[in-house]
Amino acid sequence: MLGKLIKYDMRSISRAFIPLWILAPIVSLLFGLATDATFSDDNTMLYELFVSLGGDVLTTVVSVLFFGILIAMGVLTLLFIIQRFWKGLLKEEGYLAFTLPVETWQLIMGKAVSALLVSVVSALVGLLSFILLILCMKELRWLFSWIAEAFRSLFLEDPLWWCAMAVLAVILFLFATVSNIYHLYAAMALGQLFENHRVIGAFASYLGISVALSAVTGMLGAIFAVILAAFDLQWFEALMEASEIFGIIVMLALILWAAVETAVYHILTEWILSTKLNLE
Amino acid sequence: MITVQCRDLWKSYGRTPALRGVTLELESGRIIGLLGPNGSGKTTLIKILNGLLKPEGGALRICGQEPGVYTKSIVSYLPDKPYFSDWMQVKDLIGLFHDFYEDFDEGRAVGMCAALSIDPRLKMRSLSKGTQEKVQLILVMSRRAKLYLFDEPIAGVDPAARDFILTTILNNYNPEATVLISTHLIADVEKVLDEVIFLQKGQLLCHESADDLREKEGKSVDEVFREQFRMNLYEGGVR
Repeated sequence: MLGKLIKYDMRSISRAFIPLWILAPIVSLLFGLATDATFSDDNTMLYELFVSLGGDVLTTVVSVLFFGILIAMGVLTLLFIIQRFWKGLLKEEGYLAFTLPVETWQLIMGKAVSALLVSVVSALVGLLSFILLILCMKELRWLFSWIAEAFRSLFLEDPLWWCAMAVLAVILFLFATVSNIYHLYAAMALGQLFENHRVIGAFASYLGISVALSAVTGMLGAIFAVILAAFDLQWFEALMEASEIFGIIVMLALILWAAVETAVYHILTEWILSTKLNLE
Repeated sequence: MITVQCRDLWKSYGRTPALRGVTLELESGRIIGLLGPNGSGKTTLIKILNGLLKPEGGALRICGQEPGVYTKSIVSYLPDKPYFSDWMQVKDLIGLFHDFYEDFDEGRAVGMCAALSIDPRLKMRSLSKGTQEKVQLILVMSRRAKLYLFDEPIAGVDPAARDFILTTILNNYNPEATVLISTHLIADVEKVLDEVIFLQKGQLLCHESADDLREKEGKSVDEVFREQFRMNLYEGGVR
């Protein structure tokens, strides 16, 4: 059933995102070529073509398009995450969603998985667009080879550690994205508890959760600092000196924190939607 | 067979009570009118029966089960508003019902759409309000459910559409199921009802056979309803 829920959510987004995902790399390619031709010293055919088409004007137009599409993709992804949950579960569509023979957690998780997929694909398309841009611009190609060289030398130095860090970084990205998505869901679920002004309620809830989260992390940090100050924790100093292990521990702690945040948001959202649902 | 068993159901919205100790039993094979003026608790009761709301007190069993995934799989519900996504075509909604409800008869849905000349490739939002309602009714009636819940199915539609809706319900419901129709337009539905339930301010006023009520009062159900609620309104004015 979860797969079917995801299928219908993904179909609802395909119309808006697929054109954007195709358009972003193409515009990026054009932007790279236009910029490269404009700043190129050689009077190549490409340069002459761009000049004949209006040179600088064209570069400006394509650059506005490029950054516009990247911003649009980010904004649309955020709007999609909010809209699919708000409209799909808390407005009229909720009358269908909550009468389907599925558990409430499946409805929430279905939305979260499609939101994660959209976020990941949008991020990958953004990265691809950036890589295409650099590849097209001769002036910037050094940056690409510099990054490649830096990665190569690091991996050669300690391949196992860097591989572990790369994997952990990807996992952290996924967990952090999921926890941010669930932060929005929990805020919207709280917002629908308000009889009137539900949008304002959801917005206030989002801010409230953020403040509470900052307070909790601040408190945990202070407690940790007090413990460190109170005891002669030589093991911790030794750990910090062994920067490689320390790096991995920090990454694992961040992943664990994001997972805990996600679990708390999920439990809160599911409890509200299971027991306090109040469709308009 | 008892389809619905409610025992002392309570529900409120904030400080406003919506249901106050409703107890009733609904049998299978019956078409029952859930009647009451606006704000009497009809929609709240229907939302509790289909799992959209949780009661704050009391007990509810549908075919012997507490509301949950199983009861949602045997309850077919028509809300009083459109509940489809903007992007959906008629065939997407049919596909969704086919994917989620084991008792959904896709052939019947497609056949009913064809009979009404509704092209399945049309986008739901491009259809007129009346046609959207017809599609939703077709989907609900294409299920072999054990409990059908209709929330104000004939409110806000013209008399011809009312006849179409009632005829579609009568011709297509599972005869072994219970059909519960909430409405305040009693004259239009009276002829199809086996039983009537009167709700007022969240409380059950009466639940009996439509024929018995007519015989006892010597009036139509519509007249009994008008008298009952007019009288209560008058009493309210005297106090």
